[in-house]
Amino acid sequence: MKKKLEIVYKILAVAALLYLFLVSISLMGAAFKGFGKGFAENLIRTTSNPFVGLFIGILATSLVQSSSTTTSVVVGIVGAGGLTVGNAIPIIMGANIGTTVTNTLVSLGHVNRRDEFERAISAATVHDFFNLICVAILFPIELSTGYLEKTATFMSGIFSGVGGIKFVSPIKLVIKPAVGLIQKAALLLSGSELPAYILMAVLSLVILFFALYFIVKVMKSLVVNRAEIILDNVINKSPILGLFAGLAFTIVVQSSSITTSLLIPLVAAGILTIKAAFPITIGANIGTTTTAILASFATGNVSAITIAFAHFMFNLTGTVCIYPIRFFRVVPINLAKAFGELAAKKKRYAIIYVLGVFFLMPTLLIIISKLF
Amino acid sequence: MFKNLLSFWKGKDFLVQVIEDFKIMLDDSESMFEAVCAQLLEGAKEPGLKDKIYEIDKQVNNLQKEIRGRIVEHLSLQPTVDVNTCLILMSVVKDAERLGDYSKNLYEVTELLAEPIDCALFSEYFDKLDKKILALFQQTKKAFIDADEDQARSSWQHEKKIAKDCDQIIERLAQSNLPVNQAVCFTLVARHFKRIMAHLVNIATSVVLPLSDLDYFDERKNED
Repeated sequence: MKKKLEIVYKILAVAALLYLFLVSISLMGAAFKGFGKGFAENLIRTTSNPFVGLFIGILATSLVQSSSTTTSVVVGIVGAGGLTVGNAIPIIMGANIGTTVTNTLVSLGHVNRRDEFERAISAATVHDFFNLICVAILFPIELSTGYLEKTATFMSGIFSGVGGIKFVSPIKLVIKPAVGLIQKAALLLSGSELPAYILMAVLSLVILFFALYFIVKVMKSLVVNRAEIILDNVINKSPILGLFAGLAFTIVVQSSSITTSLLIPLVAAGILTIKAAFPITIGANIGTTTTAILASFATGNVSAITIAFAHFMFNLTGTVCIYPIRFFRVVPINLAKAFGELAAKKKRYAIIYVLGVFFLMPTLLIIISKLF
Repeated sequence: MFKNLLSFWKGKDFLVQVIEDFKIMLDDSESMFEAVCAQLLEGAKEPGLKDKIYEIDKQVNNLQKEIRGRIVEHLSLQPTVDVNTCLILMSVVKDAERLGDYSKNLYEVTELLAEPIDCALFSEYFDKLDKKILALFQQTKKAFIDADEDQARSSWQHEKKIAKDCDQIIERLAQSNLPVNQAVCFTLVARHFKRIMAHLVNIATSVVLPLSDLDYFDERKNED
C-alpha cells in the first residue's frame, strides 16, 4: 500500500514538473518576445554563421550537460522569433555532440583500472564518434540542400494544419494562465518592462533546469526496476531491441545522458559489449528528441515545432544512414575502440579529448569567428 | 516482433531472480554431492555419472557468472539500493560455486581409487557423514532462502560437530595401516567433506553475520 501511494505521489510530481517545464518554455518565449526586435535581430546575426551555431550548441550543451535543456531553450527562442529555423539547426546539431560529454566524464571514473577504462571510454566515445560522423555527413548536406528544414517544415505542417489554419496548441491553453500570472508578477515587481522581461528570462531558465532535473530524477526512480529487467533481457541479444530499449528508456526519463551513462559501468565490467551498447546509445539519441517536441507544443508556434522535428529528423537520418549498413556501422565502433586503446595507454589523451572537443575548440572557434 | 518486444518487457525483479538462480546453484551442488557419495560410499554404479557431474558443475559456474553479471547491472542502475545484499551475494555465490567444485573433486577421488571401495571399511570411518552433510545442505537452503536466523545459528553447531569427525578420520588414517591408495583417497574425502561444510556454513551464516565478518563465523562464534 505504501509503495503504491509512493508511485501515485511520484506520478503527480512528474505531472507537476512537466507543467513547470512547459511553463518555463512559454515564459522564455514571452521574455524573448519582450526583448524586442533589435535583440532578436542581434541574436539571428550572431548565429547566422552555421559554424558558430554548431559550436555554440556544443559548448552550451557541454556546460549544462543536457541536450534536452539546450534544445528546449532553442525551441523557446525560435518560438519567440529570436532565432530562425535555419540558424537553429546547427545549434541543435552541436547540442547532439555536446550531450555526449556526460558519459565520457562518467567513463573517467574507471581510469585506475586500465582494461576497464579502455572499455568504458570506448563505450562512451562510440556515442561521440557516431554524432560527430552524423554532423560531418549531414551538416554539409543541410547547408547545401536544407533537407532537414524542408522535411521538418513539412512535418510541422501536418500538426499546424494545411492552408493557413492557425495552430492552436492545447498545451499552450493550459499553461497560458500560469505564464500570464508570472508575467504580471514580474511587471509588478520590476516596475518597468525590460527588467521584467530579464527577470522572466532568468526565472524561465531556473524553472527549466529545476523541472528537467527533477523529471529525470523522479522518472528514473519510477521506471528503474522495469528498466533493469528490460536491460537484462536485451543485453547482448537483439540490437534492434536494444535500440528500442534505449529509445523507450530515454523517452521516459527525458535524458539520453542518463541512458548512455548507465551503460558505461556495464561495458567497463565486461557485462555488455561495445557492439551491443551501440544500438542502445543511438536509440537514446533518437529518444532525447521528444523533450524538444514536447517543449515546442508549449510554444504553439509552427517554427518551434519545425526545429523540434528537425532535431528528431537529424537523429533519425543519422541512424538510418549509418546503422543498417555494416560498413558504416563499424566506423564509430572501431574509432571508439582505437581511441579507447590509446586513452588507456596514455590517460592524458582522454583529458585532452574532453577539454579539446567539448570546451576549448568550440570556445576558440566562436572567438575566432567573432574576430574575423 | 511484438511478442518478442513483450517478452523483453517481462521478467523478474533483481532479488527474486538472483535468489532463484542461487537456489538452483545449491540444488545442483546438492544433487552432485548426493550422486557422487552414492557411488563413493555405497558402491552404487551410475552410468554416465562423470558426464553428468561435469555438466552440472558447468551449469553451476554459469549461474555464478550470471548472478555476478546481474549484480553489476543492478548496481549500475541503482547504486544505492540493496548494496549489502549484493555484496553478500557476491561472496556466497563463490561459496556455492566451490560446493560444485568440491563435489566434482569428490568424483575425481572415485577415479583415483585403485580398486572398488570396501563399503564396510568406508562406513567404519565415515559413519553416514554424507547424510549429515546432505542435511546441512537443506539447513543452509532454509537459512539463506528464508533468511531463517535460527537455522543459520544452528548450522554452526552442526558444522562444528561434523568438522571434528572429519579431523578425527584424518588422525585415525594417519595411524592406520591402510594401503597408500586407500589412505590418500580417504584423506581427500575427509578434507573435501570438511571444505563443503565450511562453504555451506559460510552461506548459512551470511544471514546473521555482519558483512565484514562473512566467512569468519568460527571467529565470531568464539567472540560471542
